[in-house]
Amino acid sequence: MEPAITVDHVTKTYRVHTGKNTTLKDRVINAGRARYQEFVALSDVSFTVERGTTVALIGSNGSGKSTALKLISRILYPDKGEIHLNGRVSSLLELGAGFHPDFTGVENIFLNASLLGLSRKEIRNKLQSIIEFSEIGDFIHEPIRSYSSGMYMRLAFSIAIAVEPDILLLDEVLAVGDAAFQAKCFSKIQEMQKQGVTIVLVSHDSSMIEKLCDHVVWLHNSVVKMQGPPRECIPVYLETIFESSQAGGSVMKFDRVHQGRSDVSTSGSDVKIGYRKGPIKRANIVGDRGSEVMQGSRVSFDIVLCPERPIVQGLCQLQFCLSDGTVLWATSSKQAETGLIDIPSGEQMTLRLTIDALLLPINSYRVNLLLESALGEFYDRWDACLDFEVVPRQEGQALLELNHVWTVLGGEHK
Amino acid sequence: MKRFVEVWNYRSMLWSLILSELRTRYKGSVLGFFWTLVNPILTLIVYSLVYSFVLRINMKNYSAFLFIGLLAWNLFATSLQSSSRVILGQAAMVKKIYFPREILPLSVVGGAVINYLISQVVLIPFLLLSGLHPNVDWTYWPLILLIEVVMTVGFSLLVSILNVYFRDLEHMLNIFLMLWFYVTPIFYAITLIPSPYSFLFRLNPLTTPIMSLQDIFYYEHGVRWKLLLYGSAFALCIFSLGWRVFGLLNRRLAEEV
Repeated sequence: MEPAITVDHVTKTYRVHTGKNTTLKDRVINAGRARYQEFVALSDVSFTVERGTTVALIGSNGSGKSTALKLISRILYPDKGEIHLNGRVSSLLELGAGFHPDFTGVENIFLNASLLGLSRKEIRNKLQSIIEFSEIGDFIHEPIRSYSSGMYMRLAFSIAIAVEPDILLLDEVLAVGDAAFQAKCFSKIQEMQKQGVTIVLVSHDSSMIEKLCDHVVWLHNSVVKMQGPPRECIPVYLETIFESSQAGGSVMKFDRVHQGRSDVSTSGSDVKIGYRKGPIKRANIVGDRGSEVMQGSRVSFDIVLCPERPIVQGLCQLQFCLSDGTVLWATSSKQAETGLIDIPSGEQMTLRLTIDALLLPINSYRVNLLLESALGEFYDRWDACLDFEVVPRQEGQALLELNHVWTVLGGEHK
Repeated sequence: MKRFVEVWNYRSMLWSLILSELRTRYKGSVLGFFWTLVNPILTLIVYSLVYSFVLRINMKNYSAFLFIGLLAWNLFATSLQSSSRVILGQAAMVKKIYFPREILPLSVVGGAVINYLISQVVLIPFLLLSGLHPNVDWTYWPLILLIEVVMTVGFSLLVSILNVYFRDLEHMLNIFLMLWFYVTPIFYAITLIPSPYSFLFRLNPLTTPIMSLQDIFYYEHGVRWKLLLYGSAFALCIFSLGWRVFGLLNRRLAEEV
């Protein structure tokens, strides 16, 4: 079977205008001179995307991922090489492109869905499901200039998936929106994967890529540096990025773990260092056994926050997950005596979560962190920022040991 | 040919854009969509007053004559003016979504055609009031309109894409259209032009639809087939030129807007 997308030796060069010579005067004055410099965004890039697979394009900023996505969506044309597509394409490169602020939600659904290639009849049939998925409710009859950015984004995503494409292109659009809607989008994407939709996405979220994607194409300085399954590519990618940050690159550098005030020493081994732009800079387990936690013991997690823009009435959520992403337990810092947190920009704050007795079955777990405001504004999300393992208290014990007592409550007893 | 199919597949988008353009134009005004109707009525009243009391042109039913040509001219001129801005105006969309870009100038012309059709609701009663009669020649009207629309689409495709690369065009266009207006027999009859020059005026492509409309509505005699033939040939040429140039320059569009 033919692949869904074939990118065949594609080169794309941008012209960077050195000064705006687009008016008559400039043309006359600068006639004959080169009015632009060339900038190679992609150089002889080839890859294929098989039908029904999900492929992530990764790479640092400026490596050409977004250009590649725009070429696939036919917004840009390649200078050399060819791109073949098999199937109906829907792309979500920027949310709400083509929305009209003065129109109501419903009117914008008709406008935007028709921009994505749906006929009016198809839109009418899908209208109800679009409105339901977007969770906008009665606001759907209000002009969308009154919408919050979250509502805007929910509406746009709902329309994009309603197109029922064969090929879906996503450019970091899932990084916005509240956690609940993100989860919903996530499961919708998984549903589409099951239906055999081919998906190409650009993302910086390595844990999401590992969960969703079958294949990773890593672009670096306009060429494909590596491609393969996420398990092989992501670690190499993260390592390279971290190295370049140590070599004085543009990636942020983090201090090693700050000594806690508690009597337990902090081990640095379980610190996962990655590329973090968001306010959650670091999370680590406080304890002397690194990422191993003895079942039933006391354990603390330190979360270091350092926002670029101020956090107002913030609350931090922490989740324990299984390796497949199932959430076992979640807590919010709102319940703490500190209540909601305010952090001025550039200031650092450390939150500590302590669990007296960690009664989890023996297994390995992941920690997800989410920072948002009580007013619903989203600040940051870091999935699988931390792994830890619950180890048995004594050898040969069952998966779970619970403190328990057996008592006989009367009855026949000889 | 492939592009034609592509544009056809996106016809619902074309329709949405036309509708949203028509709806936003008068959004927030009290009369709203009725302005589309009120506008030609008011224009008509103003011209009638000026030419009946102030200028007193020696021509029977002069305001009817003028109005026939003026509405057809407006269809052409407003299309070109809006087309020159339409791609830059929709830059966000051009950069973020794929669609055949021909849709943008087409939607502008589509909106202008709908406005023209609505203004006919005013024109026809006015013609009847002025004592002109419906006659069998009126059946040529769709053909004449088609020639003008094809011509307008051709020019609109050209100016819309050229303005992206050469942004002075938008401003030069206004002056050019003003000149063009005066060399088109809209407010004067072509019979006023001395015969050696009359030939030149007939070369002006816009003369075809406007004179033909005057032929059937005002003079009430049949169309001049030679003129219509010339106009049709010109319309097809400018259309295919516009279509090709657009297809060619389209490739770097998303980077240049």
